[in-house]
Amino acid sequence: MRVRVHKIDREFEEQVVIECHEVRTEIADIVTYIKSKGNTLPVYEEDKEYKVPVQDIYYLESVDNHVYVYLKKNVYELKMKLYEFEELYGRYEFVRCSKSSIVNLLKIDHLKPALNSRFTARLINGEEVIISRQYASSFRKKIKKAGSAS
Amino acid sequence: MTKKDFAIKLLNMFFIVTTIITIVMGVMGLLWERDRLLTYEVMFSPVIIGFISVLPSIVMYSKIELTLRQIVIRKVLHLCLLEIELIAFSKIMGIWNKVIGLPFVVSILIVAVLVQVFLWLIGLQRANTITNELKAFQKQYRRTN
Repeated sequence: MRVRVHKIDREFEEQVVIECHEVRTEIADIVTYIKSKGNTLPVYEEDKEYKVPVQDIYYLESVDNHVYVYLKKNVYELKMKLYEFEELYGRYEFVRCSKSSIVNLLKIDHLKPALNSRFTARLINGEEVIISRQYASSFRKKIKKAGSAS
Repeated sequence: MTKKDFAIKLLNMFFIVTTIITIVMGVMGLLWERDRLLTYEVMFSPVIIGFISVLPSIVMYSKIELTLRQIVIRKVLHLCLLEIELIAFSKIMGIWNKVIGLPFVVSILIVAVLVQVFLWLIGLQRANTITNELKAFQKQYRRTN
């Protein structure tokens, strides 16, 4: 596959164009990867909209059909379902850790055991997220798989 | 938790419980019946008691994720079942008497707590392994991005 990078003036919008014979798995992977990089997400706090960089998200949690995005100190609402976010960003640094939460692997400081074969992930800002028993082994597989892919 | 994972957990518990029961029986025997002579059949009693002790752990099995409150309730239920089961077993075997009654009940509690401590240590070792893998992933990710 030939790769070309064409520098443009600031007045033009940056974009990535992929020319392919068919949309294979590798092409879909590249598209998903590009979409997840340098992206901002529209989030809301008391009906005011903000744009937050995806890499600043520590974890997401779904409560009463509302998805909340937790940054270092702030919390915003995301107008997106958890599974939609997982489809967009779940291949890389974000991983599902329970039925209602997704965590950013880059924001975890360490893990410690919790009751009933669960784990607690302590984040770098001091917050803690539970990794449920059901997702513990897939969490570990994801780290190994993502570690070999990146 | 799958049935297979639960079975492996029960097997781990069985070996931990059997080891601790052997030690506790030795200590209790030295304290209260030092001069008693035993036959080889006694060597099987920690294994039998260990197997019986693990049976009440079945109350902890659940296909769905339990809340913290549900876990605590089930653990208390497990401990009560364990005490009742082992007291009944000791009465049936004719080893129950007023002298060892209270120490026996306390020793069951101590063994149950020690099993949880060992399981927590196993969990801690697993958590440390996953943390190391995570650190390697983070280092690699930051290098390539």
